[in-house]
This record gives sequence, structure tokens and C-alpha cells, in this order.
Amino acid sequence: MKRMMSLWLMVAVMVLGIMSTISLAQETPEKIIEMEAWCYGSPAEGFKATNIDRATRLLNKMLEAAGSNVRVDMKATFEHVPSADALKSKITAAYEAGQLPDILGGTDTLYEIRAGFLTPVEDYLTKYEDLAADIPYSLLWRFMYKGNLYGLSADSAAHTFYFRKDVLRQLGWDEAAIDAFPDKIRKGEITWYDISRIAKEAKAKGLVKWGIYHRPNPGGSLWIPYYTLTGGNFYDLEEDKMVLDKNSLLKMYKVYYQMAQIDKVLPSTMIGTSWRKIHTDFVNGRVLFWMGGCWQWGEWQRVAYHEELGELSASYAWENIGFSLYPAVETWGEPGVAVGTTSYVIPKQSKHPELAFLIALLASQPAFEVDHNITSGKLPLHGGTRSLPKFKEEAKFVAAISYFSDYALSEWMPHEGWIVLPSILVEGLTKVEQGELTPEKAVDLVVARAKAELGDEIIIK
Amino acid sequence: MNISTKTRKNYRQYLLAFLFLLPFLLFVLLCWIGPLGTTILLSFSDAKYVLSRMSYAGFSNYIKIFRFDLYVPEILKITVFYIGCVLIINALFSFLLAIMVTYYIKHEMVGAVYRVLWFLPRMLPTIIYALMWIWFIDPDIGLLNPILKLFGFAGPESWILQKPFSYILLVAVNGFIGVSWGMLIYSAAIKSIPISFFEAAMIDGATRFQIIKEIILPLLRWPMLFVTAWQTLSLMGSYGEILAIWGSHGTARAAGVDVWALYTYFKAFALGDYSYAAALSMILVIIGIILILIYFKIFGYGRLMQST
Amino acid sequence: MANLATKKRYKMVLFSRVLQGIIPHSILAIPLIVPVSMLAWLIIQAFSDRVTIGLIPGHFTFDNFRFLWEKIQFGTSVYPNIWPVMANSLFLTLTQVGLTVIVSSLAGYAISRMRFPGRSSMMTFIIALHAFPGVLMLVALLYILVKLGLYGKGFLTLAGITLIKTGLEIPMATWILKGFFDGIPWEVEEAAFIDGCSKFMAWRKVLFPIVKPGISAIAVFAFMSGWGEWILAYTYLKDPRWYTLPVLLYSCIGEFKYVDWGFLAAMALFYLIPSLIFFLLAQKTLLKIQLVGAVKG
Repeated sequence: MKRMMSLWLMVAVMVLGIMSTISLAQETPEKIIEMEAWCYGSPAEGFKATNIDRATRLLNKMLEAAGSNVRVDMKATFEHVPSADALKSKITAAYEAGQLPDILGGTDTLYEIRAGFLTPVEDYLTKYEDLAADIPYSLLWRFMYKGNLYGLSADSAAHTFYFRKDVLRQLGWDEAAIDAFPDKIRKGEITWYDISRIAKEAKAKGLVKWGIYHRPNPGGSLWIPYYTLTGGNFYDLEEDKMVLDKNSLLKMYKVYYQMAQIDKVLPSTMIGTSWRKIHTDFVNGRVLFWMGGCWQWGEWQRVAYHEELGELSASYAWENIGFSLYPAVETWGEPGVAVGTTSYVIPKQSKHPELAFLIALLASQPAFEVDHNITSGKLPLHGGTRSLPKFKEEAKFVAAISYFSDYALSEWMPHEGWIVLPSILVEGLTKVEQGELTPEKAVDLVVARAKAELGDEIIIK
Repeated sequence: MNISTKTRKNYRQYLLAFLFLLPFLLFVLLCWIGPLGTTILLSFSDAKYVLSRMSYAGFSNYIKIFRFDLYVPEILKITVFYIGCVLIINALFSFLLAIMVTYYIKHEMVGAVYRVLWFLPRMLPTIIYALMWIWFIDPDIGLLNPILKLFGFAGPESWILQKPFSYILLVAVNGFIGVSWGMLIYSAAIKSIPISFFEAAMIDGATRFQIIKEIILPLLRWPMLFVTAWQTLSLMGSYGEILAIWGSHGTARAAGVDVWALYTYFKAFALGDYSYAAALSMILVIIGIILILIYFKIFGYGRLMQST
Repeated sequence: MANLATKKRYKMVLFSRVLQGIIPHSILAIPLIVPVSMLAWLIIQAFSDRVTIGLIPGHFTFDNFRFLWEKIQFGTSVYPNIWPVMANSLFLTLTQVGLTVIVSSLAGYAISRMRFPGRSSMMTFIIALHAFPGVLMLVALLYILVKLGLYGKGFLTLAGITLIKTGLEIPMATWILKGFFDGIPWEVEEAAFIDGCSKFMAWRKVLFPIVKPGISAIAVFAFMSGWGEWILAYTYLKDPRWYTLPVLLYSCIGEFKYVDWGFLAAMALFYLIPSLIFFLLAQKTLLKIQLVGAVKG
């Protein structure tokens, strides 16, 4: 009996041994490529990192199918930053230590380009252009600087002009008029002066505390009136210089002057107000118009600004808040929006730039980016995303504003001057709104400062 | 024979002193000499965005500050105003507070409570302190405007931006933090005056006021110099609270509270213009050193240097 | 006649006594309305679930403190658990306090009591150092830390930051302690030497305890410096697990909006409590012992 047992034991061991040897022989060692991606943005933009993860997993599935033993191990992180300046320091320190990741998402692209941190990617884009066939050209080839392309768009954010439908109803507008309102703006039938007039009426009737709010510090939405007049921005691509059109600047300042000092629908202390107050006031219906951005629609539903309801429900939002392009300055002029994109960029220190680029490109595939659009309210890059059922159902808002892309004015100004010009413009704006200077004098101030700071680098028309 | 033992004794003394000072010297070398040297070098270079790409640029940064920078005169005015006003609080008002809390308040416990409360702003991290102020001055949900209304003053819609009020806010925010430091030093100094001095004076029939004038004031000359000099230097380099409350350099400039140190920070960290920021800082250093020399001349530095 | 005069004098004395009672308290207490009301607001806000108007609380809730037992989720950002981060801050701060006290008391004693070449220039140098604003030291320090190879190395980086912070505090701490040492009469030391102490033992057993008030002052300053450190930590650490507490707090406030006031206030309170505790402990030492202050007569 004992001999039988030991015999069986020996056989079992032998079989096990043979099996494991066979499996070991079949198991080829994996070659693992380690990569890192650091993404940043507002609390609602976590999908920037998640999509990098998903893109990597997709890539790994393809590699497995091809029988390759190469895998990519991607560590994608997302953080909400303490301050933009602190982030710059963090990235600079990483650069100096030689430890920048393979992909950076949502950082200050222009700063990094100028600092020489990034790899040009136009060759890669040309190679994989088919994957981006339904991305509009202006969004795809946005991050150009001195002939090179430095990044891929991660998403697209359009500024949005919001208004309170419930206040308009109280003014006596019927639903048809309210629904037609955005269309009238689109056609250029309504100008800033009309807006101001409507706001004045609402304020006079005590329906709102203020007629209109705008952002409290320098940013694209402030300059849209100027952009709509000049059909562009403060930069001349051919000359590679900044441009300032005095006449258009004057018209823009006149609009703000009208709203702040004449009709008194815009608080003269708008600049410097806290964001919290701005959102709370608009969400609670104390302000009629808000010069905001498309991402706020999602934010209002995620953050408890409303004093009774907390976070807005989608139905409340659709019922009471309307949205449109920014109005034209002059009758039959052009309405418009400024579109800003954040980027995925590839630092020079990455050991696998092409692979990183490919993953970043895959991260914006319709199936992935739709989730980002739904959560953050940013516009999709791919045209294909718009026809996804999930997009149409869950991103109703973004779908409703997708026509904005047709009126989009670029805000990419890869010139040193765009660092200093906004504060000068805001200085002029503040003085106009506070009544310290007339629009004409403000334009003179801005021109003087711009000339002093930028010298030759700015063309004053 | 005598001479050699004496020198050996001196030598041993020096060695001992050196040992006591060794950790101190190491730290200073790492954390001060190194950065200072780098900063001074930077101010004569043209490094932007990345420090490792420095190249010599002579005095061009300094020239730019004095001749071409439009904003410098305004910033200089604001900085001088700021330092002047806050110094009055940090060096003089704190003295008043110290006398109140050590000399006039008889109950030890009450004095302690006051001391802790006055130290409160300094204990808060800057962001929290800023958050609290932002709430306090908020026209809708804050307390400041309602309190002022009780006294018949109308507070502005925006303390942050409207001109005379933003100055008041600037001074108040920094004053509350700085005052406790002087208070601490002065209190310690007053408390260490021997009781016998006071007893003798009271026997002679001196009033409280006379005691303050004849006994406390003269004995506190050195602490006053110290506090004034130190606070001047601290204020010249301070910008953290201003940045936290006003949020960005642009807003601070619009409100007229753009001080020199804040401008330096802006140039360095928002624009990456490190060498220019270094030059701006060096100007502060030079002015600071000059001011210290003046202070010491006035108060008599020589006595300080006597060995005990 | 005489009665009327004395009555009047009595009234005047009474009046001035009352005035003398009120005035000090007014001067001390009235400006305190500002910080005290702010603190009251912070506490109330931390326990209410919506924004407090004035000092009127909303509904009472503990929910704002949920970061104590679960990971902080802020929109789609997830932060590390708060306890390791708190440990990081504690490590940094307490190490900084300990090192500062030891190094500056040794150096302060040496400068105050010992004779050596370069003594007066060293004193001038220490004061001059304070003329250098922190702003630009930061830039240079960022550079130096990288060159020392301390980028992104978790605990090692944290330790490096601790050393740097200590070094930045040491000149001021040394100067303050020097002042305290100056005030000790020579006889005290003489007595110790007669008893057979070496200089080092005299320092440790006799003089160090006497300057305890000075020690507690610099300990408090060192604590607040370490407890508030965020920029070096944020810039240098890759793994959020090694962040310090203020980084977390600052990230939650962020550059966007003040979103969840209750949560922020709760975190702020949580952050505040250790510094309050430390300060009270230090104050106890400060108040008990008769101060030997930095008085130059």
C-alpha cells in the first residue's frame, strides 16, 4: 500500500513538473513600457485623466491581439490645482529634475512652449491624421508656434451668454419670444445696447438686483465684443505681432460704459467680485444676464449654489436658464463666442513621444470623450461624438450649443504680448466701469501702456 | 610659558565656540548663502522660465527697473504708504497694547486671554485668514458692513476694489498679523523690569502715566529699535496675504495695492522672468540694509556690540 | 465748604479710576471684534450645511467633517486620505521645532557669551539676512533642491524640505535667544563653573532652562512656519501621499471658486486645532516663569 502511494506521489510530482515547465516555456516575459500622465483642471474635469487610462487599455488590447508582448503601464493622475502659478513652479521643478511625465494635460501650454519644455508633434499628427478626420481643422491645428505644432486639443470650451428665462417671463415675454431670443442674437438683431435696455427694465421693475455680470478678472469672455468687431483677436499671424484696433476698443469700452455708468445694470465693482457671489447671484435669479462659459452649466448642477435647491436639477436649469452666443455690438453685426481649448502636450523629456501622442489622440475618441463632455460641459472635438446616442441624451446642453463652433473666434495668441496685454485691458475696463475714465480716455491709457510695455511688438491701428 | 598657555586657552575657546556654532553655520550655508548667491547672480543674468539657462546680462535688469518700467513709480508709492501705515500698527500700536496688557490689566488670566486672542490672526494659515477676511468684507453675508451700519457708516460694495477702502483693507489685514509680534517682544521686556523700580516710583508718588514715561519708555528703547527694524524688513518682503485676498496681481493692481514684493512674485512665478524678479528683490535688499543702518545710527548700535 | 471740595475731588478720582478701568479694555478688546467674529464664523460654518449669513447658522451637521473618515472627493478629483498627510505635516513641523530650538540655542549662547573672531560681523550678518525677502529665496531654493537630487523622492524630499525650512528660521531664532542669554547675569554661569561644569554642561543644565520663555517663543514661530508649509511640498512631491496638510487645503480652495464653504471651514478648523494646542502649551511656559527679557538698560 505504502509503495503504491509513493509511486502515485512520484507520478503526480512529475506531471506537475512537466506541466509547469511547459507553461513556463509558453509564457514569454512581458516588456512593460511605463508612462505617466499628469492632468489638471476644474473639479469636473477628471475624465481628462480617465480617458488617458482608457486609451491605454485600448492600446494594450490591440497589442495583445497582435501577439506582441509589449504592454503600456500608464499612470494617469488628475488634480485640482492650488494656483496656476504654483502649477508652473511644479512643472518647472519637474523639468529641472528631468522628471516630466509623458503627457501633460490642461496646463499653461504657451508658457511651456516658450520655456522649451515641449516636443513638436506635427509629424505625428500627419502620421495619424485619420484618427482625427472629424475634428475641425482650427481645433486640431491650434497650438502652433513658429511653425511647429505643440499639442493636441483635449477639449473645447465655448463662452456662453446666459440669461434667466424666469425673469424674462416676469417681464411679460411669452415662451415663443424667449425661445426666439437666442436666434435673434444669432442673426445680429439684438445688440449689447438692447441687452442693456432689457436689463434696465428688469432692474427698474425690481425683478433683479443687477442686470448683467461678467467675470471678475482678465479672461476671454470680456473681450468678445472686441473680437466680434475685428473678426479675430489681438494677434496678427502674418506679422507675428500683437494688434490693437483703437476704434474697436473704443466701441467695446463704450458698451461697458453704457452698462455700468449709464444704464447702471452692471456693478461698477464687477472686477474683483468673488466667483462664489457671481454664481450664487445668478443661480438664485438675482441677475438677468451672465457672460459665462459652457462649463458652468454642469457646474451649477454639481455645486450647491442655489440657496434652497442646492445643486440645480437639469429640469430646473432647462426651465429657467437660457443660453446663446454673445450679442453683436452693432445692429446687424456679428455675434460670436471665443473658444478656448486645453491641451495634451508631450514634454521633450518623454522617452516615448510618439506613443504618448498616440494615446493622447486616442483619449479623445468619441466613446471616451463623450463622458468628459457630459461631466464637464465642454464641447466635443470629434464630429462623430455629436451623433452618439449617449451624447444626445445625456449631453443635451452641449448638443444644444454645438452650433457655437460656427461662430467661434480663436483665442490662441502665441505671442509674448498676450501675457501683459490682458492686465492693461482690464485696467482700462475697470476705470471705465467705475466712471474714473471716459471710454475715449481709457483707450488712450491702454494705447499708452501697450506701447510702453510692448514697443514694436504691437501694431496700433 | 605664560604666552603659550594663553594662546592655547584662546584657541580652545575659539574651538568650543566653533563647535557650538557648527550646526548654525551649516544651516546658514545651505539655506542662505547658497540661495543668496544664486539670487545675486540671477539679477545680473537673463534667465527666463528655467534657471539653468542663465547667461550674463550685466546691469540691464537694473536699468530696466529705473528707466523703462512704467509701473515702478506707482508701486514704490504704494509700498512706502503700506509700510509706513502698517509700521505704525506693528511697532507703535503694539507697544500701547503691550502696556495695556501687562501694566493695566491686573488679573493675570484676563491678560493671558487677551494675548492669545491677539495672536489668533498670526496662528491662522494664510489661506484661512484670507478666507475669513473675504467672508468678513462680503457685502451680502459678511459682518463688516452691518457693523459699520450700526455706527452710521456705509460700507462699500467691494472692499477689495474700491479705492480708499482697499487701502484700509490692505493695512488692516497685515496690521492684525504684525501687531502680535511686537506685542510679544514688548510684553516680555516690560515683564522683566524689576518690580523694585515700580515700587520705588510709586512710593515717590508717581502717577501711572509718569511711570510709563520715566521708567518703561527708556528701558524699552532697544526692543523698540529691534521691533521697528525687524518689522520694516518683514513688511518690505511681504505679499502673501495680499495675494491670498486679492487673488491675482491684476486685481491687486486695479485696486491700487500692488506692492513691490507682489510685483516681484508676479514677475517670477506668473511670467517666469526670474532674473528681472531677482533684480527687483535686490533693490529691496539694498534699501533694507540702508534703512537698518539708519535705524541703528539713531538708536545707538554701539552699545549692542559690547560683549557681556 | 471743605466737604464740598472733598466730595468733588472724590468724584473726580472715582471717574478717573473708572476711566482707567474702561480704556485699557476698550483698546484691547474693540479691535478684537474682527478676528473673534471671524473665528466664530469659521466654527459655525464648519457645522452648518449651507453658507452662513452673518453669524446665523444653517442646519447643524457633522457632514462637513467627513474627510476625517473617508477620502476627500471634490468633483472628480480624489485626494489621499487626510491622516497620512497630517502625519507628514506633523513630522515636518515637530522636527523643525526641535532642530530650530537646539541649533539656535547653541548658537545664541555662543554669540552671547563666547569670544571668537568674527563675532560682531556675524551679528551684523544675521540682521542683514532678514533684509532678503522670501519671494526670491523661493526661486533659488527651488533650484537648489533639484540640484541636490531631492525631487520627487517622497519621504526624503519631505526631510529635505524640513531642513530648508529650519535653516530659514534659524537666524531670527538665534538672534532672539541671544538677547535672552544676554540678560542672564554672569554670576549664574560663574556659579555653575565653580560647581565644576564644562561650558557645555553649564549651557545644558543651567542656562537653557532659564531662557525657556525665549525657547517657547521661537518654538511657536517655528511651529507656525512648518505647519503652514505648502509651496515647497507641492512643487517637489510627485506622490500626493506625501503632501502636507496645507497643500490639501489649498487644493480644495483652488484657483476656481470657493465651492463648499462648510467643507472648507471644517478642514480649516481641523487644521487650526494643532496650532492652537501648541500655542497654548507654549504660552503656559511663557507665563509661568519670570521673564528674563531682551532688555538693554
